[in-house]
Amino acid sequence: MRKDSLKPIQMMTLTVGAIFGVDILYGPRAVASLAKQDAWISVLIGGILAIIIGSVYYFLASLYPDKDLPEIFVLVGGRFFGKILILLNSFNTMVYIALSLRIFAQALLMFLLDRTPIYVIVILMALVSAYSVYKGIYTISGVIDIIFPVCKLTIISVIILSLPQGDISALKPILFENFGNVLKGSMASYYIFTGFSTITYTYRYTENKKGTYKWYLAGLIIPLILFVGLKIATLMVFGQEDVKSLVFPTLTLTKSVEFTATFIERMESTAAILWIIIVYEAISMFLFISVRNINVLFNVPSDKSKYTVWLLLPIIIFTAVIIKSGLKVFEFFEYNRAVMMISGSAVVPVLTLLSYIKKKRSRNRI
Amino acid sequence: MRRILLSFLVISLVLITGCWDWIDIEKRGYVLGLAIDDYESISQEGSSSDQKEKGPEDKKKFEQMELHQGQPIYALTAQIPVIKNSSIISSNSVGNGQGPATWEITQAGNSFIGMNRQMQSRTNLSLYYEHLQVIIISENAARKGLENIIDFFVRDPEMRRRVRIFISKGEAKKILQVKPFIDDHAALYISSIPENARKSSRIIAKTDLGEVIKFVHGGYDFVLPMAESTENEINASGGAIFKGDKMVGWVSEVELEAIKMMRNIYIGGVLTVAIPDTENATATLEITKSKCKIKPVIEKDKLSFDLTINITGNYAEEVNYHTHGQLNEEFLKKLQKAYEREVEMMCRRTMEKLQKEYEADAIQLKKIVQKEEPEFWKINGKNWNEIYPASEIRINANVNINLVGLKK
Repeated sequence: MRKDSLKPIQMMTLTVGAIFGVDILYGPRAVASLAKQDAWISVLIGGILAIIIGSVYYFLASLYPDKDLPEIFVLVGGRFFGKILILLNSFNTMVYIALSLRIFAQALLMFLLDRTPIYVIVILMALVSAYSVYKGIYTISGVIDIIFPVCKLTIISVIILSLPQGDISALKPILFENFGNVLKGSMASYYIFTGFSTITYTYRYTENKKGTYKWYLAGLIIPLILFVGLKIATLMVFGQEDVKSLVFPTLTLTKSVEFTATFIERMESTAAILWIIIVYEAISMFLFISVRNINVLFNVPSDKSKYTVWLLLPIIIFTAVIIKSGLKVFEFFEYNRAVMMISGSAVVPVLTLLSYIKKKRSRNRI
Repeated sequence: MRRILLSFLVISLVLITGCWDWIDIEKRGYVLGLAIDDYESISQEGSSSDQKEKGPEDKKKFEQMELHQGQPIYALTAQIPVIKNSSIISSNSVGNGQGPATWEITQAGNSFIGMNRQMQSRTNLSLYYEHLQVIIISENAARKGLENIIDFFVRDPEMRRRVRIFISKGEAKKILQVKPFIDDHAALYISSIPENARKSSRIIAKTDLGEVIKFVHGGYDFVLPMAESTENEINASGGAIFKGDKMVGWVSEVELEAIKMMRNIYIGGVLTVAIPDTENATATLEITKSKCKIKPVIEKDKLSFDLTINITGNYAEEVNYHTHGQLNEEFLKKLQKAYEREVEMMCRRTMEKLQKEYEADAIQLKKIVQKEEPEFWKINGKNWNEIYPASEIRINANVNINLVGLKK
């Protein structure tokens, strides 16, 4: 592999890394309140929707193989409108990173580091992620490649090991007068796949475009399967009533797994380390996106562009620690992500259509 | 310059590595068991265990705390191991081996976190609940309801959902004060008793905090294991019946066996019947598998249930009757019928008690109706408390004797 290029298979690891984030800690909690025992069907539908919209994102990226989303915004939407889109996207993404950092810190405070000040956790995580972004997408993808199998195996282990404690009847009755709620829940589930949009930033770095879509699709299907598995496991172990009231269902699920008379009595300490890495993956990816947005927005020269991340960091850290109420953080996070996904799902298909028409016309002219 | 910077970073990595939240292991007070008593009843009766100890008045004073609001409701006792007196340490001649192996520290109050924090003013250890094995709740506290009790345990990140729960006949603290013959700590002793549920059907295998939370929040009735003690022994057979979050009564060991069979939580045990056409002769079946199929039946808006219990076991013992190599299929068939009758009778008697006396759905038929007959539940769910006691329950048992042991 050349230093400045990614392999198609890395589209899978990067996409999976971007999709799992703090959602691995608390999961699509709102889905259980909406769809109750059918919450796993909502996650399934939300994931399928993400695959469809994600394919549109991929198609847009493939129309401009040497450009990323902010550059496409400017190219297709024009300088003024394009930059407004970049500005909105940058705002949403930065808030997303900040609130992800905060939720991650809250989870760590709850389960591991009860006396460490929240800002210390936020700053450390932000610094580690920023350093990867400073080193570039190749460093991020390299780190994600190394940790990918371990992280995903941990999630699979949590699902499998918790199932014997579960009650399959917790999933019944299936779809009984609940289809409307399942559909409502599927929108909330769709939002957890936010990371699929990163393809429009990473695609340009793939050296060989052949087979990229296949790997990108795998990058969408793996989180879909694991999220559905986690949802089924949490519903079976806790029941729908209890899941609704849990702040971090996945973490609580990990704490529920115990082995009798074996050398590993509990798995949460091992899992906790990997949760940190999983959150790091997503934060690094979104930080990379923010840097690209800002660089295009302000036409930062390429030799200075890698320093942007250090300028963004104080703003992100400040946003992460400024909110006083721990519960409000979740509300803001959900709201911001909904705006991000709805606007993205509306703008990108239109942009893709315009780009396609534009490309077709220019080809006809030739 | 680059090398100096790199060396500085490497050295600082070694020097500043540490944890903000560190606590030395010897400074932690590992709480192994908790006992929750109803304050009103123990203050009226007077704690029998305290009378034996030196200076009970001073101790009583320490057990009280100034409250921000209201009056004490519960008395919380935490069992902490005294490491220097544990048998492992003393056998290695490190500790002195003198004195009690555990410390039971009691605090009265009206919030569990408040009582827990108040205990910190009486110990130089930092109380740590990650290794908590058991919570014993007294009958009187359980009759007041579990929802108030479990709230702290659900919220606190140190608590674990696999912690076992028992209901004590009488004072819960007394269970923790048992001096076991084998273990050092009563909490470890009682928490490992359910592991024998495969051998004895009179113990409930799964009775953890997670299950209780699920049942209380889901609005289901349930059964929890009973615990009673002598000075050195704990007996955990029998059960406490809960309607909602409140305890409503006890069931005997045999009734508990029937509940386990009907609720599909029976994982092993024995069943003894009188051998037909004999006098005082009995035959015992070692049950290896028990499965209960529950089918709700709705006829003319009336709900009833068909319970089919399929049991597989091995012929284990005969008393006052000896086959002497003549054990045959015909005899086993006769016995199977006797076992079936016994199971059906046990279950009917237990259901009668649950439906008529306690009106508690410890078999969780409600869950079956919710899941299997959602249409009926949607219309009639709100009247479940009236429907359940009036529902007809038909019980049918099928017993299959598989092996006969090493002797025919």
